[in-house]
Amino acid sequence: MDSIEVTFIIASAAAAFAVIVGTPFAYLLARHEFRFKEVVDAIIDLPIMIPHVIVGIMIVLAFASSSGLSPFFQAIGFNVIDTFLGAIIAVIFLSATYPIRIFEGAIRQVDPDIELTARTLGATPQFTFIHVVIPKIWRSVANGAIIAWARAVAEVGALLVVAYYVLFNGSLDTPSSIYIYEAYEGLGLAGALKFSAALVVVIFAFFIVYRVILKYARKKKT
Amino acid sequence: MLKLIDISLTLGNFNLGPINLSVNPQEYLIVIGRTGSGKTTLLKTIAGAYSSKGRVILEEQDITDEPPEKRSIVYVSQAFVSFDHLDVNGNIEFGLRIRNVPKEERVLLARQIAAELGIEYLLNRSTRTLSGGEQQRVSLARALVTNPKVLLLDEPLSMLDPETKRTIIRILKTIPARYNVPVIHVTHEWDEAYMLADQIEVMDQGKIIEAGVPEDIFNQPTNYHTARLVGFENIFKGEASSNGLESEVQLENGLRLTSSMNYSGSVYACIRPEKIKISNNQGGDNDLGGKIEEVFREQYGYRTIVSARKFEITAITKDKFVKGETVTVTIPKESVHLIPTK
Repeated sequence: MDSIEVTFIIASAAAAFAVIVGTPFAYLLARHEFRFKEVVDAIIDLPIMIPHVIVGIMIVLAFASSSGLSPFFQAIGFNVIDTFLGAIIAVIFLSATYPIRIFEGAIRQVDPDIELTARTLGATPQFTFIHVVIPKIWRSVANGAIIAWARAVAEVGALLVVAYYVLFNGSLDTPSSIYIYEAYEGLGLAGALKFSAALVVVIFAFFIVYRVILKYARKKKT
Repeated sequence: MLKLIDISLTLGNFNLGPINLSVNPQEYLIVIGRTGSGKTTLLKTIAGAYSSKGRVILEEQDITDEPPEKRSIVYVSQAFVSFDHLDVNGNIEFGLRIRNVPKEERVLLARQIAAELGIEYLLNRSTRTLSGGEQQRVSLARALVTNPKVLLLDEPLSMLDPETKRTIIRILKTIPARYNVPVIHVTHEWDEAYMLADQIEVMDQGKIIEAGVPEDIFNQPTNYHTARLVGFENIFKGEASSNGLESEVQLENGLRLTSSMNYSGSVYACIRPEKIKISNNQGGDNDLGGKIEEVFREQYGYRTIVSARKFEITAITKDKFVKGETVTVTIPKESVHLIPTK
C-alpha cells in the first residue's frame, strides 16, 4: 500500500502542477504570439516523442551531475535522486503535454470578446483569467488534471533512472509502476499479476469517483 | 469628449487608419461600413484591446497607453457575451464588484438599471436561458451600471429578430441623454444608422471616407462606396455636362440621364430604387424602355429588376409586374445624384 500511496502523492502533485502552472501557460500559448513559440511548443511535445528513460537521464544531468548548474543545485541541497522531488519533477514534465494541449484547445474556444468585455468593465487580466476564463473551461481543466494524474501513475521509464526508491514514512519505497516491474523480475508473471490487479482496481475506482464528482458538479452549475 | 488623433495600426495584412474623429458628450455616433472595413478593429482599438499609433484623448486625458480596465470605456460585443457561470444579477454586478461597491449598493444599482431596461424579472435567471433581446439588454445593463465615459456597441442589433430589434432601437436611442454617455455604435445596416445616429462616419478599407449628419450622408453622399452602403442600388458611370441649371449625363452604354444637380465631368449617377417609377405609360423625366427581368416580394412592395439597354435597374414598386413584361422606367431628375469619380 505504501507503494500505491507514493504513486498517488507523485501523481497528485503532477496533476496539481498541471492545473496551477499549466492553465496560465496554455493561455499564453492560445492567446499570444511570441518569439520562439515553435520551440516552446516542441519542448511541450517532447515527452510524447522520446523514450522516457531519456527524460530521466536529462534530469540527472541537469540536477545531479558534475556539469552545468548541477553542482549549484547540490550545494543548496536540491537533491533529485531517489527523492519525492526528483520523482515529481520527472512525472510533471512527462505528464504535462496532454493537459496543456487540452487547456489550450479549450481556451481557444472561449470568445476573446468576453475577455475584452470583462476588461473594459474594469477587470485586470488576472481577474479576467480567474473569474471569466477558468469558469468557462473548468470541465477541460478537470479533464486535463485527471489525464495528467493518470499519465503520472503510469510512468516507469524516467522513474527507473531518477527515483527508483523514494523515502516515505521513514523507509524506502518504490512507486507502484516500478514495484510491479520489480515483482515481475523477481517473482515472475503470477507475482506481478497480483500487484497489477490491485493497482488497476484502485485506479479504476479513483477514476469512477472522480467522474461522478464531475458529473454532480456539472449538474450543480447548470 | 473622446478624440482620436491619427490612430493607425496594422493587424496582419489589414491596415487601420490613420483615423481622426471626435465624439461629443451625449452624442450617438455611428460608424458604418461593409464587413471587413475595420469597424470592429476601430472599436476594439478605442477599447484598448490593440496598441496603436496616434493618440486617444478622453475628457482631456491622454489614455492611449492605458489598458482597457483603466479607460472607463465599455465594450458591448456583437455576440451575446455573458458570463454564463453567473446569473443575470451577477452579470450586471460584475463591474461593480470589481470596483468594490458594497453589496447593498450593488443590489440596489443592479435592480435600478434592470428596471430601466425592462429586465427586472430576469435578475435571478441563468443567462443561458435568455433570448437574444434579453441577453443584449443584460449586456447594456452590465455596461451602463458602471457609469462608463464612452459606450462602444459592436453591431448590437445584428443577431436580433425584427421585432426585438425595434424594441432595442428604442432603448439605444435614449441611452446618451439618459445615462449622460456618448455612444459609438458600429454597423453595416444603413437603416439602423439612419434611425439612431446624430453623426455618421463611413468606413472603407480601414479609413474614414466620409462623415456628416445622417440626412447629408443618406441623401447626398460624396463617395461611391458611401452611396452603395446607404442604399443607392443603381450606380452608373458617365460623363456629365452642365447647362448651368441641370446636368445631362452620358452613360457608358449610350444612355442619357438628366440630373437636377449642376456638375460637369466624370461622375457616378446614383439612384435609389424607391425613387424609380415603373409603368406601362410614358411621361416623365428620363423615360427608358425596358423589360422586367425579375420580381421579388418585399415588406413594402416589390423589388423589380428591369433590363434597359444593357443596364440592370432595380426599383421598389407598389405594383407587381410580370417577368418579361415591357415597361417604361421613369427616373425623376431630382433623384439622380451625381458623385464625381475623383
